[in-house]
Amino acid sequence: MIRFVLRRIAAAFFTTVAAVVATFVMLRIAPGDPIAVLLGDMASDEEIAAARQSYGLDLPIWQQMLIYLQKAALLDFGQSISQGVPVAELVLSRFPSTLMLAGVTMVLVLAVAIPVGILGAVRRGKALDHTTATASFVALSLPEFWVGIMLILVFARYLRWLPSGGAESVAALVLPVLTLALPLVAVNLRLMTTETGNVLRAPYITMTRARGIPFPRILRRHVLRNALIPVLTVGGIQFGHLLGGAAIVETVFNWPGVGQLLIRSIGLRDYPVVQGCLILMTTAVIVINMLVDFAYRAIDPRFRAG
Amino acid sequence: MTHRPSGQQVEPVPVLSVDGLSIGARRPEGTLPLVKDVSFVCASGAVTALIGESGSGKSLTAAALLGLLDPDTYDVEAGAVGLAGLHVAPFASEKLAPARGVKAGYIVQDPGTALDPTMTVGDQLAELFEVHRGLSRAEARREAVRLLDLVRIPNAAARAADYPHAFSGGMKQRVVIAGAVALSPDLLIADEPTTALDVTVQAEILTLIDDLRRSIGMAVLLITHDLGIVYQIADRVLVMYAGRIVEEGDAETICAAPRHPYTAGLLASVPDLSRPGRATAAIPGSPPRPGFDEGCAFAPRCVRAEPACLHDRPLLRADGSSTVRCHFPLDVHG
Repeated sequence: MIRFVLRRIAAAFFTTVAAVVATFVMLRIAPGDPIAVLLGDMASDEEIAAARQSYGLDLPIWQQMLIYLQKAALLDFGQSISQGVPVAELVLSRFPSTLMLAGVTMVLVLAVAIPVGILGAVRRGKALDHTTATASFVALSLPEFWVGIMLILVFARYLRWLPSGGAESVAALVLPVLTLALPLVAVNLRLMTTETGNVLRAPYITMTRARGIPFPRILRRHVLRNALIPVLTVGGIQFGHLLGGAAIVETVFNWPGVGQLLIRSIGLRDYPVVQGCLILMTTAVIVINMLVDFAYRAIDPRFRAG
Repeated sequence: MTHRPSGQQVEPVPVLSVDGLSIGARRPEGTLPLVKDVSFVCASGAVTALIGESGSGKSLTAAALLGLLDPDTYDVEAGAVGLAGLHVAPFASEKLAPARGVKAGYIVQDPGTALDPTMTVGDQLAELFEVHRGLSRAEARREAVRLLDLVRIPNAAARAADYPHAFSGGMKQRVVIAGAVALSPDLLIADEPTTALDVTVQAEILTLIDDLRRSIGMAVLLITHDLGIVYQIADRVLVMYAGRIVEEGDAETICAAPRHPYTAGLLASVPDLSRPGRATAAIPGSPPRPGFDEGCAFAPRCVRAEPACLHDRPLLRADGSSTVRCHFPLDVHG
């Protein structure tokens, strides 16, 4: 087990490095010049050249990248061009808000999707099953920005029950969490229903019935564990994405998270901050995937064999 | 309760009596009959073999007896089914609850998928004692080890903590058998228990089942297409073809002098190891499509068929020591 964990951590480390390199290269290829945005239209050629030199943008890309990697190894991701503070500080100051949003969303998603999903499979073909299938399809088809705006209209503007944005109170969490949770519940719920259905038809479940084990106990002790594996996989990927910042929802609800910072920084061509945000996102996905791998082994002993 | 007459020794009460069992597959266009009006008994302590080709309905019959068929997929009807003194038809869960695991154990063909992959084999066996005997976890685990020992799994105490993937196919089947006989049932329903196993392991598993039958005193309903098994351990034989029983009788009698041409064909298709080089005779043609139900289902493949066989369905008739469903059964003396 320890060897597996070490191997997995090493793999995660190299994946992260590869992601950092890819992010760096893609941003240099993308159009737009941060110096032009920073200095504005009125700057002289000399000023522009001086600014380029001070940020190291006059060097060849491969040299820029080596310098970047060298510093990144010491957790120095440079300075924000637009705000003049260290990137690491800026991104990490946004992370608690994003973590809160992601955590609450994921807990809600699993708390709804797992029990309702199982119930849908147990009552296959009945009203609940059809309702969740249709509702999931609708929920998946609605874009986040539209759902967010509609929720703001109804609950903040007309009913005045909840704030339309910001992060000043617990109530401010409700609408962004609902917006994020809606499509994720849809995916996980149907996945749980499908997988529970598969497990219920598995011969080993028939065998537990033949042994006279009561159905609630079969669900609890045999079906749940086996049906949870795909939801664990998908839920892990979803959580990783949320941890990287929910760009659209954070922007719609003015939630001070990493996603909002990313969108603003892209507008300002603030390369170092965009890079910092992207690295946080990829790292979050990589770390969560690694944790999911560990969870597999805890749930299903077959993963321990390999 | 089944009425027990005083002269019981003469006519032992069957542990299982099935009367008029029919199973159909639910289809959008209607129910497709797969098992048609099957009736039989299993005598206490004896091995009754139910034989037939794939698709003949024998496995469906076995699963239906414990109410294991999905009611959304299958339509199961039965006149009366008695299982160790319980009336279990119609197959509602509340009627079968006291039977499953306690009165009857069940084993299936593929032990590879018959055990929960996420639970140790010890805990899967212990669960039976927790649920049916109300034992504590620790007591139930001791019983599980005793069971693993009973089915001859070496080093049982240590192996109880292993997960199914750590066992070979034969060892898994032993665990499945342990689960089926845990509570000393009156009947073991074994659906092709050796088909998925290596030939060398098959004999061991059969011997184990037969030894357990003797020590527990249970009856065995053995579903198989393997006539070698029938020769080895069966007392009675039921031959099934296209959802109907076509011949029934003592194993020895049927193997020596089959009356139904289909049974004769089955026997002729078994390779005879004592006479190597002698070709086996396959039955020409293939079983009818499900849903086709006119005359004798075997008539299109039968060498003895007369025009009447195609239209006129034969009834199951007692003839000598066996019962046969044929207009022109083979002679007792060949």
